[in-house]
Amino acid sequence: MSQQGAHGPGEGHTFRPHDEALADLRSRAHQMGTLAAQQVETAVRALLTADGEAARHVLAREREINAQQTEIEARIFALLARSAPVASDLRRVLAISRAVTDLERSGDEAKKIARFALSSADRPDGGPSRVMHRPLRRMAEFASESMRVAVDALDRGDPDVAHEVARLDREIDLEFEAALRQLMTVAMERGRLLGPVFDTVFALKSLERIGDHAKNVAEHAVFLASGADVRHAGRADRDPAAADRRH
Amino acid sequence: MESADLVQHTSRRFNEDMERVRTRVMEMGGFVEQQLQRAVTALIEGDSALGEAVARDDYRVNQMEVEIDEECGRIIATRQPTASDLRVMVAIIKTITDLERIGDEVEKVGYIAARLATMEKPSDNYREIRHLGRLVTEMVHDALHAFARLEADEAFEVARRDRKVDDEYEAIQRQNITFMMEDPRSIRRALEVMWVVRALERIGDHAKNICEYTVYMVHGKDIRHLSLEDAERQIRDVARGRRGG
Repeated sequence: MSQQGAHGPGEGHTFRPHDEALADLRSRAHQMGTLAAQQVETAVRALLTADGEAARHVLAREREINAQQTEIEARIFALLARSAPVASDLRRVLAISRAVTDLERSGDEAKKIARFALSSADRPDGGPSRVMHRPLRRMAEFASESMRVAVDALDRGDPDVAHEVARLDREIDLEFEAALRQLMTVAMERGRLLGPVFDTVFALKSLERIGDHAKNVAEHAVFLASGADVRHAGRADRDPAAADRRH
Repeated sequence: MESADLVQHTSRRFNEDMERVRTRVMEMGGFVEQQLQRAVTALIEGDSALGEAVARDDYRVNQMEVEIDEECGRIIATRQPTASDLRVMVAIIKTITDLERIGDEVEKVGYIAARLATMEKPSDNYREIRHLGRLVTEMVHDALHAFARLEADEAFEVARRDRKVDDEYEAIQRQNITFMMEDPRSIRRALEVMWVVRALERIGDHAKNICEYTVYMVHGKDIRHLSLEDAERQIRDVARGRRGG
């Protein structure tokens, strides 16, 4: 039905009408991913410096991320409907399509942190406790770094960085667990000011989720490169003790 | 190629493929729903074995997602569906992603239920969670129903309920903070409860997403980043425009 079959799918030397569309998708996904990584950094900086202006900036850019998602998905749809790509091209399109969902959700988490930053910017004691600054900063660094690495890997179709991203994700998880334990003590001591403690828990949780999304993006890169679906691999026989720590 | 027979043949095969996939999506949805009910029961009854069983069974949800996803990829590659058929495929792929995430949230509730079973129950016996759990379970059920029957109006109605879930969520969190202030010894339990409530709230979000895909499937309109009011208005306008000619 389509002309693709005659070319020997995936050989890449013959000009195919959707090459341009694919290149365009790649660059859009990369741009969206870069923005998502920036959003994490800006949101946490806004939170730690009580910078309402920066928080508002994140909220405005969140709408941009949503618009990018809609645009990319519309283009993916048009590409699938028009030129029915197969083999590695189809895998690339599907990988980008899944990655975009993770990027949008990561943007959503950054938005939540920015809301906390905005609501606490002009309130004394409304923000995270002093002791929480370091874990928040470190988690934000890990999360945005792994998002950048993952997005680059997706762009290049590079499966090898998945390990690196998974390692960063474990760092984030460890940092998260440690911060939560510490926060319990803070909660006991702070008594009347539990609202900000709760908001801090959720901010930490958002960063942990962003780490998960980055890991997903890296897995989409593996799928793109190899055709193997690594999602959920090894999850079924997960060590229950390790799983116990999950929230 | 030009033969009408062949086109018909291809489309019939596509329809068969699609029916099979839709059936599997409903099976997956049914299982997720059941998992959700069991998790809430485990929490309320303090049944740690049930909580653990729920968490353990999440692998089946993951398995179903991967299988359906692969099947969809295969159908897109081999049948090269038309635009409107492709829309259904996209909606299915997105729906199973959200079902899988619901599964993940349920898994967490399972683990937490198992942990909470060893702690003293609160005096209200998790009345609020029971209520929120029911709201969310109904949302998931009805969202899948609307999805199966391509009922966009029903999907809108279900999506609107997410606000109620969000309100309940806020109320429970506020109440939780009060409990913790009154009785610092309850903090450990209150934090666990906080995660459960959070997970249920997220499940409501995912159910709402499924409703949005149903609207997309039926009307071809992406309403995710619109308010529900705007989305409904736009779709009515389009429908009126069509009728008016």
